[in-house]
Amino acid sequence: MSDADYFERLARTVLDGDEEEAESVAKAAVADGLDALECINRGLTEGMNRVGELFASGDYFLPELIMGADAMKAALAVLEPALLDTQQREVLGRVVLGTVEGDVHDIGKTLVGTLLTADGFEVTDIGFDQPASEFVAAVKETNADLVGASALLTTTMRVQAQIIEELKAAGLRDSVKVMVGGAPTAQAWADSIGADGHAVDAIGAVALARLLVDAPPSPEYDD
Amino acid sequence: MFSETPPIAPIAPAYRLRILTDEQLDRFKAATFEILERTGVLVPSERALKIYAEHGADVDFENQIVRLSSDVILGALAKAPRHYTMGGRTRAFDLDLSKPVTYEATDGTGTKTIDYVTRELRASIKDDVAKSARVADYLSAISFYWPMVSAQDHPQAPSLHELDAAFNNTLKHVQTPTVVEEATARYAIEMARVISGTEEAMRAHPPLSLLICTIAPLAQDEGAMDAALTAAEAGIPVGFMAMPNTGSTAPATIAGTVAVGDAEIVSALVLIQMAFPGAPVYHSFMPGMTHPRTGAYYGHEARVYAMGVELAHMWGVPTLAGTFGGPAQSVGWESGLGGDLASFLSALCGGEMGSGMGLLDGSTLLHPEALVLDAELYHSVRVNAAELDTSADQLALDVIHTVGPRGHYLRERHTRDYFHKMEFSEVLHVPDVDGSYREPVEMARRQTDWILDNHHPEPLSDSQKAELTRILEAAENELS
Ligand code: B12
Repeated sequence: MSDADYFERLARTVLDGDEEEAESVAKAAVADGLDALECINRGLTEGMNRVGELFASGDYFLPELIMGADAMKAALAVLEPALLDTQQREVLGRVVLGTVEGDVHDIGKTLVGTLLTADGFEVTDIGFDQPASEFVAAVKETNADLVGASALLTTTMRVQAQIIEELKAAGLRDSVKVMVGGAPTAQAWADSIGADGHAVDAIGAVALARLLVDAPPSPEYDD
Repeated sequence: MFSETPPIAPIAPAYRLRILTDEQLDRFKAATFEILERTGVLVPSERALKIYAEHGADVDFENQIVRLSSDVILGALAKAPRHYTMGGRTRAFDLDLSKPVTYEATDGTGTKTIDYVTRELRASIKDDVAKSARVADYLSAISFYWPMVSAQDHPQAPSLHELDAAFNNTLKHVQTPTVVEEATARYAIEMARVISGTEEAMRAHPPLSLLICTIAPLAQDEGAMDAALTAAEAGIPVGFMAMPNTGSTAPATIAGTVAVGDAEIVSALVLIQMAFPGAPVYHSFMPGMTHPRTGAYYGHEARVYAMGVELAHMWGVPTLAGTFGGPAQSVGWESGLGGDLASFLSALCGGEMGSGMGLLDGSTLLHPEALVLDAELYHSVRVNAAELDTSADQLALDVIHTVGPRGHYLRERHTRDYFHKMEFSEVLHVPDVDGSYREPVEMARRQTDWILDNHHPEPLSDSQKAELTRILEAAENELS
């Protein structure tokens, strides 16, 4: 099989959202001596871009987006360890994402994570009902550029402020940007707690994240 | 001086409807048995896990998973009362759930308000609860009251301030969806006791009920289940509402969504009956639809909510049906969609309670005119469901013979009398000076303003008010 065939097959596994196939094609590519970084950029990322286009045009729905990202993750688990020391996968930024303590509403947060992943961010989703300290710990652990905190209850919004305070206390506030969201939150709330941004939906969250890491606007959602 | 609270006007359907066949109900029952026996539910409360274990459930303490056999489920639910009474502040506002009527409530608990006076959009505050309670107190469409928005200006104990504003401004039963921690529940019960006067009176006619959400898919909330147990022990009715979202927290089918939601509710009802046999509980199935491209939450077609009524009755408990409420951002064509149909179907299926009037934007926005407009739709449902009077006087054969062919009825005494007995809307078909009809939204605004200016329901006694204030202070000290 030619290199181009491998890239196309990898892209296909992402388009099909086929985790098992993604892993086995990635293994075969590595065994055949292909360059892992090329497999990522010309196979997986290309596949994810096509998923993104189909989603933006309305042909794909959320499950295709999530399953595509899962397939990509499965292949990355094989390909990343095969990268040369001098190589690094390009990501737009590293994001720690979670729903705050006392709050179990996680659909919106999961959606934001999905769209960020599809757009080329590396997302660490720490789940729901997470105290400020867990956000800070995850920032340390992943060397994140961005924190995304979701709150759906008026009684849990204050944890978003607490995250910012704890990032300051840990000396991390200058190295990460903080974005907040969830139904009861608004730009004015974000401003009042010193967050770097607020978005009302997942597409807005992607645009905001790009802005905060100085990346150009996403081509797909650009209308 | 105070003004009389007009009597409530529940929907009293004269005819009935079945949406699900017996075979379909059997399939749903079997699905709930299978889900609870095989996969089980996640229950992150030690107190709840122990109760389940002591009453025959299969409890995996390490993973906090509870599995229930059909025998255990049926044994527990056999103890749940099919009917009970939810109290108002006075007996005239009691809700007797054994009557063949449907009582409906406001929506809650939103987070934003368009101010009744300035019309500015802002975060909700306690005074919005007070004002909306006063409007709801006046409207006969509203049989019981959900605090419509959050008291965000009282961050130490918002849910208790919402109850304070509600109890002070309406004689109707209050149902809260925001008392979801054990400590808060204790104070809420104390407040209910103040309204009732004595412990016995509170148990006989509880002026407060709780609504607890299960967590889709197949989980319960720790604090909320502890709150539910505490309330049930005190005789406060507790309902469990499942809100599975079709496509995200439930399968992308209606039947699959019913299966997930019903299993969640049943698991919670069983817990309460194990702990406090005979405690008043209710079942509430309020699923949402996930938009496949945005993930946003919106309502299902109306019949899905009426199906919840039939599920509740299959398990032998009363129901709270989701009737009004939708994604519209403002009052208009979209805000009027669906609520009347869901209300109508739920009433015809025999639903005891329904809720959802008066909020917009996915139950997050209090809009000044929305409650009066929804009440209008409610009344059209009530009239459509009501028995038609075919008595001799209504048949009016005498006057038909008298007028005979041609002629008209306008000068007949019968016509004069009956015109005055008919119900005319103060919102719809209100003539303007030029002969056209006035804008319904404009009329709703006038009615709302009129109520706020003129309706001041009977206040609580000074000692009751002082007691509530003392409870709030104690709660704020403990909870802050
Ligand atoms: C579904 C739902 C639930 C489900 C959640 C299931 C789950 N696994 O997530 C269940 C049934 C469990 C639930 C429980 C409760 N809920 Co609830 N719930 C909702 C509901 C109806 C929809 C939320 C939703 O999923 N929306 C769909 C998603 C896609 O939208 P989203 O979350 O807003 O996210 C989008 C944006 O906000 C943004 N975004 C979100 N996060 C982030 C983060 C960042 C960084 C950025 C940039 C953007 C961003 O992008 C997202 C995607 O577009 C809302 C009402 C509403 N319309 O919002 C009430 C609501 C939030 N719940 C409410 C309440 C009261 C409760 C309960 C207390 C009820 C009870 N008595 O038990 C419990 C609390 C449980 C807890 N401890 O958290 C109230 C809150 C009122 C208040 N004062 O705050 C609301 C407003 C309903 C109401 N009017 O009463 N709920």
